[in-house]
Amino acid sequence: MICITGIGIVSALGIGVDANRSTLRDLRSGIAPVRFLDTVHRDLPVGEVPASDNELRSLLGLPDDWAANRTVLLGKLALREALSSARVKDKVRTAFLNGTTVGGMDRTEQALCDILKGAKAAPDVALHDCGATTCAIADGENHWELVSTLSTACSSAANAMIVGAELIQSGRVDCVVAGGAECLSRFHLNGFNALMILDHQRCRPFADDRAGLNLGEGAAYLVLESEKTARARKTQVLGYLSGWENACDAFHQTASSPDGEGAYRAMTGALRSAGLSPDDIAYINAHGTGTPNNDETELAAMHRVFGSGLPPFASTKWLTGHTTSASGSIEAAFCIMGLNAGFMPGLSVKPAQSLRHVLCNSFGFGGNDTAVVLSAPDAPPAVTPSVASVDRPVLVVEAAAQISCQQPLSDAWLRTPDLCSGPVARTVDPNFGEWISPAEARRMGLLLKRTLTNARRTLGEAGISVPDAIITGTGLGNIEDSEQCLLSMLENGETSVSPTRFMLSTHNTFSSLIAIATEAHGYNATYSHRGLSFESALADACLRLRRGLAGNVLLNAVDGMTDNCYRFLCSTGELGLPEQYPASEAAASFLLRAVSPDEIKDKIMIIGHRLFHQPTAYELGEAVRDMVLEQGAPFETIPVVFAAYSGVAEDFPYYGAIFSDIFQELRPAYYSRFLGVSFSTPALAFYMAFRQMQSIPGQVGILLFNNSKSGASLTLLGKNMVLL
Amino acid sequence: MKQQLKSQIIEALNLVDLKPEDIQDDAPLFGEGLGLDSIDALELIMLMEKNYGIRLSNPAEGKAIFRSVGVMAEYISQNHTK
Repeated sequence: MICITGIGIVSALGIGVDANRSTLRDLRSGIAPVRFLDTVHRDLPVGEVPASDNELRSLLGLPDDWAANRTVLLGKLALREALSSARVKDKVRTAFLNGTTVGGMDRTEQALCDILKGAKAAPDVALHDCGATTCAIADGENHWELVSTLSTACSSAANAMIVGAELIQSGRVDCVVAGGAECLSRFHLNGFNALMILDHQRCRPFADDRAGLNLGEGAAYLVLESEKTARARKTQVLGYLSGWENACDAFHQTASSPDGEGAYRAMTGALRSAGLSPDDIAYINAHGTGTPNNDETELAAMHRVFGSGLPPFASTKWLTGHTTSASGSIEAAFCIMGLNAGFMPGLSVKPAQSLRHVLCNSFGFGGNDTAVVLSAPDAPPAVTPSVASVDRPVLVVEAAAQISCQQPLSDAWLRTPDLCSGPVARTVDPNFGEWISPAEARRMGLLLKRTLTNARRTLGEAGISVPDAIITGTGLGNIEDSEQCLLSMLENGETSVSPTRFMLSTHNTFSSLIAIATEAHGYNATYSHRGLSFESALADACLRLRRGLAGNVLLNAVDGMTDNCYRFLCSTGELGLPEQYPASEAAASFLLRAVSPDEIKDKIMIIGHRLFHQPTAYELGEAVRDMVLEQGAPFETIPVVFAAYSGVAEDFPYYGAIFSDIFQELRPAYYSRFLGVSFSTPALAFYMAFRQMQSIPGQVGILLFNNSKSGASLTLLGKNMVLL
Repeated sequence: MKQQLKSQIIEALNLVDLKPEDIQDDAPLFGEGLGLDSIDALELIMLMEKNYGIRLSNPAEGKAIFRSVGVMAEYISQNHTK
């Protein structure tokens, strides 16, 4: 049972739970003309948080020169309120899962032109990517067991909540602070404008004369914890996260399918996992953006689920605007307020029956559809969300493909990989025409082609046509399209942005592209957490396989490096450092499967995988010992540790001390020397380990280790080990 | 005019495997035709604005205009401002 014990929120309705609750009850809309965003589109109303950046800093007790983007400021305010309302103390093992897509784009779009002319980036611009934004929100607020970032466009916050719930049920942590944060940016205002789905008046979700959405901004986090922890801490329970499901529409990057297949699957799955029937739901907080397409297909899906018994429903986006990556947790927070105070968010009518269970929808680009069931404090879920009974499955890697600066189609390079060279190592691309038809390829840049090629090769090797789940890690997302969008917007003074490129600019484009190509309607997630993006995706894959939520997972990683991107990252101090190995691009896919212990002969098993946030050497040592003990074989069977060290002297303490303290006899292999430095390079190391172990007969293990300021991970792969 | 428009459509939508002569004047652009979708319609709206100074404020208006290259060329010749 997942208890909700704390809420923090900022939105156009106000700052803090009390302000939001009273404005929400009174149905006072926060949609108004632009006040703070520096845009030419003054005719487009928005839902801005009613405070300037410096007013937000002052609320946080931070000086005016404290480096942050607006997403960080909004996120920090909501996070502090959530932590203090739940009285989370350092003694509880707590994770922070943040959903964002825009990240620090508000600062980047102001600074980029000067940076490309050679200026040095100010410290706030270095928080551009989603993971850096998350870390800046998290830093200094709590002791975190692990921190990561989900980026599935407008469903990001809802997905952070469901991954948080799974993480608690797996026992990895006791408590998760989950939600999302997103500020307005000119980038996505112009992008949505290019899609011609912005209403020039206040939006009217589900109305016959609806004409599009209004963008909003904000942040909200829910504190989730197990019943046991909540009881032990004697914390007040505000409600329950009783059921949840993510599904993929697998139809189109931006349009929903006519019958709302993804939305239907998400809603029915959430009800099933809560052990409830449609009759139990007293209110639906719909995604309800106000666009003709969303509302029509969402309504079609609701009719499919509820038939003639459709309960009262409303969208609260005419009050807050569409707060994109933060909308899932903002609207879940509204539902909890309604459950506690007996009102239905967005509706003036009083509930006919007492509110016990409500449904909250959150849909994103790429057909990423999530629904959650929230229950009142006096209506705990009757059942724990069901987990298929799998007898302690063993996780194996069955197939893989990679595209990098090494040869893509043959593994001959693995014996003696060439050191990579240049400021940016050149990627060796295969002939994509073998895997992608010209009609499919017409909108694809290199990153999308690499992703789909790797996915098809991997699925082909594994003999699978439709994967159960698709999970991707990408530090920077689809930079080819997002960069072109941004540059055209800056160059022509916000007059024209390509709708095609904006549609493809979200980080989850890779996962959705594969889902559409394979018609995969299952779980679809994307992690954008700097150098720990792939390992975050791997952790989610392991969680789902171990809990029987998927029989197989297609796991991907992709990051690119355009000339402009390289210049940008040099100016922020990320790349181009003395002694640093060359920058590079990386793309890889893997097919992971859960098998029974009698099927593991000669298979490459994932024996252990664990994420950390700023761990001590002692914690890492304990984790390695646990993993080695689990495989029931001595340390000697692990000849090598693949380590993500990038060559920069100041990062060496993250690796050097660890090797001398805990790995001792193990030989480190610093793989970035021949794979280059990219947020997704750890996926290439995983590929190397997988293929090398396949070619070694008998018993063998390889440890993979990644340590940085944004997080750390340990992965132990083994072959022909006896698992204890 | 129609030839020029066909080239512009091919470029805007990156229809790399098509030549202008492959597109019939009266063949439907959407649906079964070239396999275009709602995002392509938005690109065509941008094309008309950029090259012919025609602004559509409601994407639904595009439906009738983009029936075929012939219909689109007719609309442009009557409404262009540059």
